[in-house]
Amino acid sequence: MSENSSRRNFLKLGLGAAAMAPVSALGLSSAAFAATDPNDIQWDDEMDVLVIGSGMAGMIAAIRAAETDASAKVVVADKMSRLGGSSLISGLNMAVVGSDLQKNIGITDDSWELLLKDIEREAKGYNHRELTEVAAKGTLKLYNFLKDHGVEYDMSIGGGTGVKKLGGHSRARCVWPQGGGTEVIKKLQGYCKTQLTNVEIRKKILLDEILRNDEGRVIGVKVREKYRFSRKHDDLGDNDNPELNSSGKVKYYKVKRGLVMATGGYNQDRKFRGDEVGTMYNAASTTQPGATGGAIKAMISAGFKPIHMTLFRFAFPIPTEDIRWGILVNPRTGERFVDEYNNNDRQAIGMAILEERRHIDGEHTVLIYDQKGAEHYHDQQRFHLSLDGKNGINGTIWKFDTLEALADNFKMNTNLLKANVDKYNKNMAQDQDEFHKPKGVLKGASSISQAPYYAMQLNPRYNYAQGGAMISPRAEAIDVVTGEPIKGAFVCGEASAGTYGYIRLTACSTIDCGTFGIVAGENAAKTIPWA
Amino acid sequence: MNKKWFIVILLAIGGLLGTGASLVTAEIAHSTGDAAFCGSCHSMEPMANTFKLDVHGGNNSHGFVAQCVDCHLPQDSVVSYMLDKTKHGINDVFVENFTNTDEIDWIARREERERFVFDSGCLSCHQELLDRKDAENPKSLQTHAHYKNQLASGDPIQCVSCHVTVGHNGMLRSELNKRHPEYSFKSK
Amino acid sequence: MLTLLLTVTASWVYADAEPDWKSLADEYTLKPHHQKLKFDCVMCHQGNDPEEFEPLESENCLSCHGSAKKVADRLQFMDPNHTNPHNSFHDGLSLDCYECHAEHEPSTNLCADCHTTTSWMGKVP
Repeated sequence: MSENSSRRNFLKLGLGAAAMAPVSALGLSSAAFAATDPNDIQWDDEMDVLVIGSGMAGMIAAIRAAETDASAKVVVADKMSRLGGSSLISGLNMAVVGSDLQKNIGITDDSWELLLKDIEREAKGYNHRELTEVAAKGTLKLYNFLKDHGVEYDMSIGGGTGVKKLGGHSRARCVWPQGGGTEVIKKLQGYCKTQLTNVEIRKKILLDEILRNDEGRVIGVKVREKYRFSRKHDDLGDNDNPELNSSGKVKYYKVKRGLVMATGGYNQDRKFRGDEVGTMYNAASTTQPGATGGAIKAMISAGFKPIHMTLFRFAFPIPTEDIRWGILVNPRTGERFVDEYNNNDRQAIGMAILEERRHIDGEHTVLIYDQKGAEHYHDQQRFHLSLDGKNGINGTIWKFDTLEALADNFKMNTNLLKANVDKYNKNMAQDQDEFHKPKGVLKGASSISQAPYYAMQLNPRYNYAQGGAMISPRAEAIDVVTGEPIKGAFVCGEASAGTYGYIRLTACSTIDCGTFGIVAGENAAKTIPWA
Repeated sequence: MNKKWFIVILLAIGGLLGTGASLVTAEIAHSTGDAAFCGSCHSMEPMANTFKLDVHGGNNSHGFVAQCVDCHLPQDSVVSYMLDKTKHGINDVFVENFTNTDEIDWIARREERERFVFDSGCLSCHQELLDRKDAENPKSLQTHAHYKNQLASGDPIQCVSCHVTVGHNGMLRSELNKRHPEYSFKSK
Repeated sequence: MLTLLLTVTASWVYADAEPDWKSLADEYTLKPHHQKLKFDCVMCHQGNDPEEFEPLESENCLSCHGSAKKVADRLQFMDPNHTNPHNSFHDGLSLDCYECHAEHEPSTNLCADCHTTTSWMGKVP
């Protein structure tokens, strides 16, 4: 008798417990992250706004947050001991609609709609228009913001006008900060130091985990202070693996209003990018060595929605339209393998090179010009930078008096090379190139015959990661399960995704970093604190 | 005159002449030891020019100027000082006038500094240095204690083992690069 | 008998307390320019417990090497080309020493990560 009633009681209790169990246990909705109870954490430090990343996007976000509310404590944390991210070593040219420089050369019919059109032509439908509009509409505001914070623009560009029309843009609108990204970063850092007492910049702080409470709001982060990034790994992404790099001491930061992720791309992470696109494992990258997958992985673990991860953007150290004057050869066979004009499709040429390298154990393919080709170069300044060895990884161009000397230098068989050069010259003379390279685009450089000869190990650089955390037009991170903005989380710059698409138009990374940096900083400061 | 007086007068005159000669020698030795003298030779111009900018070469609030020989000749005994001075004097005059001094690799020679910069030189002025109990840079107390330990244990290091650029304001390499650039900065 | 036992135990205990500096020095070698100065571990690392030794910060290096400016001035002849590693175009005087310099491992050249530097600079000590 008592056994039956106890069994009944047990069942009752059991059902009751089930009824009270969190809805998630019944599978009606689920969270993408493990919730943290703030009371369980021993916080080591607290701040109102925490910006992760000290490149252009992060610095602008921090400045705007501090300016929006002078009482807000803003901390910029970077995992590297060298601040400035990829921005420090970039040219940072930017597309600006309606600048004074543009007006000075008589252009009055440029518009954000025209810029949007140019961007979307390259994006080929992958972009989220509401995000692209934010960037396209905000260029003049960004241009003036930088000016107001100490940045000057390089007036030697465009024959003294300071503005130039770059490939893909339908108006002359691109400007360069004087001294490139180095100057921008220096000026913004200097501004914080002298004008904003509520901004603190800290280095060697690695973000380990983003903490969200059971309502999904970001409440803080787990970091490692005094982290030491090591450039000695062949795959720099190894630095995110605690088994390979365990430096630093764990600390917990309470973030009261907003976390801004301005962590750039994952271009230096061989495995991470190679998992998305196979041949990408071997690409070079001239982004900063710290551009690894750790940040995007932390965001994904915290339920941020990642998109566009398979998209990539190649850069060559020389303009794509200057590749056509030469021939690309496999150093082992001396043979060509692609049409070097290829409709100026940088992605296609890059992929062809990486694929060819896969067949020769990763050895570099060689681009060969003759003197005629060198004279046809659009960008003579870049050509000479390459001759000086100042054009970055695989950016050096060597000069040789003879084809033999050239072949010798790259350990190529001279006879094989000569045979292939002769074949190319013969076919091209009749516009019958075996890869259908059109003679018409080569003007006076339709053969490789006139000494001296020039050569470089042309290798595509994976320099922009379109992939990242999806955002709203308010720079809010989006939760991968609910599709809703995550409270207290913002992403800006290359770390975010959706503004661009298949290709990012040149001179547009800066406007993405800058316009969304402004938005993220302002919104983070305005977020109501949870504690 | 008898022999005794002759000898006395001889000795007196000899003594006067000897004293005179010593004083003149001392004066010559002294005036051939400063930067104006040493720096008058072409090969020594970079050294003299950088010395002038150094705290030991006049660039200090007292206007104090050391002589080249204060550091570059041993100061622990007159005999070793004069011997070295004579040896170098003969060598330097010969080399400067009869060989091509432009072929001397001074930049590499700096690595032999322990051979031609003497601790006795430093210490003859910086007499209290090694016994200090406090210092502007507390690290120096640790390093100078290390110097004393090594000296005491018979395995010495020298002042210039650590103080690599003393006397020439850290600019000697750059000054020498004006005549013999180490890097071409040339394109490939 | 007791004295013997105590002596043996005592020496065993004390032997454990003193770190084996010799084999540490063999494992963590110094660069030639520091080895010549006959430094021991504690010249740079504070304290007596090697287990507690941490990688040096730039201020530690500068306690002997003076200041970032002093170090940069020694390579003044590289300034006209902006290739002075201690006062470069990108970083000025703000680099940490350990970006390039390591003591117990080979050093690396930060500039050479991107640039072909063979005609501008020598080996990093």
